[in-house]
Amino acid sequence: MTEHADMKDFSACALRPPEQVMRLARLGSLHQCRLSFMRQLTRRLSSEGWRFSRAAFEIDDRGVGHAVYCAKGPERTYSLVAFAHDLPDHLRSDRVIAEAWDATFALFDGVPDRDDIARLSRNVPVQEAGRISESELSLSRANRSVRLWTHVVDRLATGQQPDPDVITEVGYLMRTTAVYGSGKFGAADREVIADRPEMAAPFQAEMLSVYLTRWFVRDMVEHMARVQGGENAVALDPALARRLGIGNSTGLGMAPFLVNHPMLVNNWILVRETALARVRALPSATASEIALFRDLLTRSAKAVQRWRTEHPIQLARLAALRADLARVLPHVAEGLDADHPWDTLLTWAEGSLSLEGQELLVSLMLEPYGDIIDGLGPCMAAVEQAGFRIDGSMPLHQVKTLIEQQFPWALETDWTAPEATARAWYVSEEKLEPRLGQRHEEPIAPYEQPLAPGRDAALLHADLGDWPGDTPLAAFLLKHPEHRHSARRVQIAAKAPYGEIRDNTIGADMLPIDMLRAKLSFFGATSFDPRSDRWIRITMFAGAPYPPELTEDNADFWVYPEAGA
Amino acid sequence: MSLSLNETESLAKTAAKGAGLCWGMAEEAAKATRWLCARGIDACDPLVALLFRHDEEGHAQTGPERLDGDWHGAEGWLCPVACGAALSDLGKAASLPLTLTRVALPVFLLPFAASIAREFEQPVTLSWDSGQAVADGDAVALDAPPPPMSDVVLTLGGPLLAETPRHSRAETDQMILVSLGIYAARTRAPATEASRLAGAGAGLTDND
Repeated sequence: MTEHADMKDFSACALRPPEQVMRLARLGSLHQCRLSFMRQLTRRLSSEGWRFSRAAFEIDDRGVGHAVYCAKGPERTYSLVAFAHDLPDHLRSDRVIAEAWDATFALFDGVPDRDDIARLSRNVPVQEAGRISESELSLSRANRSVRLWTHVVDRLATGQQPDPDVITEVGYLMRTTAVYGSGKFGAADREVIADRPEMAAPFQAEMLSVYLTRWFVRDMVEHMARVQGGENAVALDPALARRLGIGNSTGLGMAPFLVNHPMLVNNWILVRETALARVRALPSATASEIALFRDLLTRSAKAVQRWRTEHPIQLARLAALRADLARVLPHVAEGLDADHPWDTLLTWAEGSLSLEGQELLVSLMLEPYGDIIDGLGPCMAAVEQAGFRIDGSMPLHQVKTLIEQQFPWALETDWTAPEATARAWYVSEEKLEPRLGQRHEEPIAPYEQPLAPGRDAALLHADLGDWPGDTPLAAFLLKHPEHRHSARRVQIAAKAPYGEIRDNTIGADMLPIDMLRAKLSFFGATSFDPRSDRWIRITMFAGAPYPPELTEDNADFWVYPEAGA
Repeated sequence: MSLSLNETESLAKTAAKGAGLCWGMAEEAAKATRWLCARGIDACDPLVALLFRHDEEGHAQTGPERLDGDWHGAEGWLCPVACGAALSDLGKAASLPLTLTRVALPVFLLPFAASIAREFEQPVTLSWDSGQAVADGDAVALDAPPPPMSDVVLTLGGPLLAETPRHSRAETDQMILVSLGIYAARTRAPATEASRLAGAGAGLTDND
């Protein structure tokens, strides 16, 4: 049954306010939770009894060819069409501007026939340079982790299993460098599939594509080991295979998404906050709920121990998180049988833990309560169109008040200070790659994308100053069309308060990785490993059962490493 | 060529910005293009014509000078997107019947007329030199493409429309896309080696 997060939840339980939640530092500390899109997917696939099959694996001894993996649900089948390539090392780049990859993929809506495969074989391997059709729901590519790939192939080829420590250190055999969905390069728009129950939650097609890709990658590495080792080769130990996720390398392209989809982001955050409020409102916890929480907390601590990064920002956060866990584990050993245990725990955490620690605890507190939370999952989708029309009858004094309520930080910012506008988001001519530049040092300001809602709201507020307060917004916008996008934004922020980042997105000290991590955490990513302030590697589906192994027992908590795993 | 509606909207928005519209107006042009294409009305071709006119004539004020009385543009013509946006902003405060003098590519008025029809809870009829159209909420009836420039009269009322069949793709000519692409390209910064490295924040090979 689908429940809806609505205004009732605002009054019934205390939601953490947007001013607290929508700060970049906190968004950059979010962790996956049971509402994450990967976990919504695996729960659904198991509860509906989806069947999985490998329909084709026509890969030669050089590792070149194609494969098809099918997922058959109650009403429809989706197929991952994978193309494997022989990529010279010097062409292996995770950047969007790359032109060749180790493997390329499309998620096909249905079961492809020979003609579909032939058509896709001409288009999918060249990615952005090709065209796909309304029969395809996503387009993606992946590169090998050369180090782990070589290690695993060499070991399996000689009849040995790979070193578990090397597996832990890297975490994946291939990493995707882009997963395009929703209409990109000719694919079907989200609207085409949004009414299907299995696609109601956000990014389910993309998550399914990655989940099937992980299966293909395991088959590929075993295939290459057989080619190399012949009869000596062995299959990958299932327990080791399960530890492997699919890596992902994400650059700046994902950051504008968070600013450009305020209604959607609002629903993601609002649903998670609503779930948290419901849990905090519980007067007591049962023994089994407490036991599950403690078990997952311990397993989570293990995942944090395994988490590898070399970036100084994340190293510092990770050190704080490990210190947090050292405080949390003894703290929760007792007291959870008291009145309103989760509310009490979070209040303690807010005074005692880093943002990483607080948000990890929030995610864990939701775990025992699927029965009151999981129904919210489909509410995380949004129709952006709903906020598009501007209410031009709104008097200007009300527009001003909305800005003062939703953008107080922006009105307090001195926008004439160079550091306040140090950056500008732009799109490069070359392969249309989104970039972030230094406004005062590079000639990029004329190309700036509208990704600074705070600054723009402050500019609008300033220009409203001279107009009589009872003038309708329509009359103002007739004379000031340059404020049109900002006026729309301000009205959306009033309807969707969790859709607006409450920080300066063009300031000198802004970290794009905070925006990337917020989005990736909702996907269900783990092991955040920033490679710079604007580029991050993560792992997806690590610990998950492979599709043929999926059962109701293992579909939910796979993200937390089991004892011994 | 078959485009997804998201691609169409995204290209239309960037092209409109490249032709000199401000971001908010470019968003309106893009949503209007998508709305028309989703109802089987080719909007990419007229969009090129509209953007060409904007580009040729500079980026002067092309919306109505005043909202009371008949609408006129300061430059002797009206942009249908600017007029449509003003109509949509007014909603029920729009005073119909309303005469718009010399509107370029009036087909772009249809999505906005449909939007105010929803506000008024009755159809809106648009009449121009050689014909007319009716718009109502999600539905539209258009017999023949309107002329490239015409006076337009909007009146409340008109025949109730059957649901308009939805199209999930935009079908358009390759050359039209090339034209839109030329405008869109103006929004993009030329790459330099420095921006290639610093701007995206990553190196160029990943053999690890």
